Amino acid sequence: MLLALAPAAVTATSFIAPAKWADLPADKQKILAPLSSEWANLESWRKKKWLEIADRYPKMTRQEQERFQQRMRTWVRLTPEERKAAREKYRNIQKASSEQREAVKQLWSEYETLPDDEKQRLREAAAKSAPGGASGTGKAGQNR
Amino acid sequence: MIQKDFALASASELADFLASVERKAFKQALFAVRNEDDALDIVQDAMFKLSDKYRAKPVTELPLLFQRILQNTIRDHYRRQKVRSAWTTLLSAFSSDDEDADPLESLPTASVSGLGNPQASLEQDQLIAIIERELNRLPPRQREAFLLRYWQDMDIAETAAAMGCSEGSVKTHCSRATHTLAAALKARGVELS
Amino acid sequence: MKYENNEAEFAARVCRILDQDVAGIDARVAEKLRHARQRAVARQAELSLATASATGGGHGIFQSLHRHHRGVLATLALLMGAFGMHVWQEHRELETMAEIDMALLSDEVSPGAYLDQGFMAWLDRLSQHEEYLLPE
Repeated sequence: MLLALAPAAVTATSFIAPAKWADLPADKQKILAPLSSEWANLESWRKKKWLEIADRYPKMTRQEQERFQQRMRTWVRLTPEERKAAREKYRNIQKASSEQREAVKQLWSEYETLPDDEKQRLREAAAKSAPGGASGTGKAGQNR
Repeated sequence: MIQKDFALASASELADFLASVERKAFKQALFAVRNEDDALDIVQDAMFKLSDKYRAKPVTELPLLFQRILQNTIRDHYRRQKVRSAWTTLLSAFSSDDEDADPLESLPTASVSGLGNPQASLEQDQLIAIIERELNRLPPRQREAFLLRYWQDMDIAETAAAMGCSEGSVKTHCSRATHTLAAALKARGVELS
Repeated sequence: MKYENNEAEFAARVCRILDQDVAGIDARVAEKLRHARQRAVARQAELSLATASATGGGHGIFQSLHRHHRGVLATLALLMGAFGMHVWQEHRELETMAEIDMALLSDEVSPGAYLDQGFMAWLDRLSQHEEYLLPE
């Protein structure tokens, strides 16, 4: 999916997002189903953002929608810092060459084959060496 | 005790061999990578690798073995340079910050010619410098073939094995190298005796 | 003078010059080479005196490589630590964020790649073992 950063023609951010999950239109509820339990806890700007996403959701391919559904739940439970960091890195990688993006993909799938205890050791090593202490334990890495 | 004596004898044999080849090996590496520190590293690396294999080899095989190890080590150096720069680019793209990564690849340093031999005349110094410059101007494979075959006294088959190419290629590289060098020297009005 | 018929002879003359060059090698470099030789000989002596199940000689070779890693590690310090964020304007941010989140969450690559600190540590480690080639 191409990341288009051009300003959207229509934005839905001016309306007030329903505070209660039950007040969401049915079609939005269907798309954002994994968020139902968290919905009340989200800040209003995040609610707006998710509704924005739900608007664009039909444009994604079936495969993209599936991935999206699988990952939503974990994503919304991350700390704000974790999400910010992930977005930054994602943007940087999108700017990189296709070879590098491909490299990230292959390296990640290789990393996933590592035994769990080794991954845990790596995470602990990273947490120790991070200056200022990165927030989050990286458990979101199990996100598929 | 006998074992110890034997070990010491072979250690000094290795030491003698290395002492006889180390300077030339350094120059060889320097022509290839154009950086003194890298060349020293390469020679050290090659010496270690030779010492690892030393026990199994008769001493007459050492010169050729060492040359092959040296060439392989130089090749590894090139490969690492390439890998290093690919990693830098990837990791910097992965960074959370927008800063440029520190460029790691060292560009070939300009001058290769060594400092003058205090005993040599100025003329000799200049001649050395000229030869070095013209050698450095050659395409890498031609230079490699020339130095291995003529300077390191390897025959065509040995050179081909060390370079990983055919014997025909070795002959072509050598012939082109010599022609280019001869023409270059002639153009400068230099005659060799 | 024609050298075409005397390739070997010409080459021999060139090589004599090169030999002079070698003979006149810088004293500092000669010293370093001598040390390198001594290290190699010591290592070989060590190996031959050891018992049948000889241990390896250690990572002597790679010591000299780590000088070159400073640049990589400096970059990685950025990875590991500072999320270095600017403050976003909400309106613009929301749009962009929605787009990014959508892309991120539906991308082929799992968000884990951008979140898992262990992955970062692993990449770091790989980049230091330079025999690991990046996939083409």
